[in-house]
Amino acid sequence: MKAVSSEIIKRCQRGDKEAFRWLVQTYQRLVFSLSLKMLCDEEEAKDIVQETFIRVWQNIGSYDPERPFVTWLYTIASRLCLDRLKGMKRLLPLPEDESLLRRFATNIDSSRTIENREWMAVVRMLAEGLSTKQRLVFTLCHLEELSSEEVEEITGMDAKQVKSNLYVARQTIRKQLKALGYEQD
Amino acid sequence: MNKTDEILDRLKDWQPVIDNPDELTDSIMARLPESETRGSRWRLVAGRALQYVSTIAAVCLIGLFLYQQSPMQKTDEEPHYNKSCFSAGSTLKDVYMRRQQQDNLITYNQLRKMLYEKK
Repeated sequence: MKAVSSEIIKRCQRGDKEAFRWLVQTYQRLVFSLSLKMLCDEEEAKDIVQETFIRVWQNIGSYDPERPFVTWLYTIASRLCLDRLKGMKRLLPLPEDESLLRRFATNIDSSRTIENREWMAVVRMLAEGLSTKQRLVFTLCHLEELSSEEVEEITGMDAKQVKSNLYVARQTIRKQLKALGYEQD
Repeated sequence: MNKTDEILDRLKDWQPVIDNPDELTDSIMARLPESETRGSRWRLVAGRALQYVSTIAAVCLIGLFLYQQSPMQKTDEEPHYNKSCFSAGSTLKDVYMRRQQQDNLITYNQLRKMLYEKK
């Protein structure tokens, strides 16, 4: 991931929209990735991307350049995702999700491109029953591969809470896979 | 490696694709509100400060005005009034004005009281 130069940040703080466009182009995929993994809905994820960058634009004046920009961006996006999840009904798997999970689990060709639709179906199946916090910690730690220090800063949880939420999330997913016949005792 | 780890590892490698990234960028840029630059923020702060100062000044002025309009505090000793002020046909206002001219401080209420005593 490209580091944001302080010059770009200063230009954005002065209201330079061209510099901000560069920022959006560089980081929109990262925000989209997090929000899609959290919400499992492409339109909702795009909406979160838009809201996140609008918040960034409105608050860039108070952004502390000593803090990593990506962590700040993740913090804004994850809060918006949590708010959206609270307002949404429980993410229930769709009827076709099980067949997509089967296809995903049995096809071991790693070079095969996975479509957003297939990936969302797998996550919907596996993450069913996770709380919003467990879902966030699992997404950040496991799917986005952030360090536990970064996850602590983004979520505001301490190391113990992050660890326990991740453990519970993994156990829930394991149980889910076992119930679907993919995991042996 | 068990099946859970295998599936989770495969999920880890995946990055979603935005179908039309340029369109998304344009829609974000179109929705951006006008930013507050450093200069405009200072103007806003100065405006707020001015607003507070003028509010406090207005309250002080109203307080001073009310204080000046309030009747003077009653003293323990009643002043000795010149009864000659109360001549026949004098109105309360006439007496008050005369007293004012004589630089003799007397309240309106005291004058009223004196007029009733005369009656």
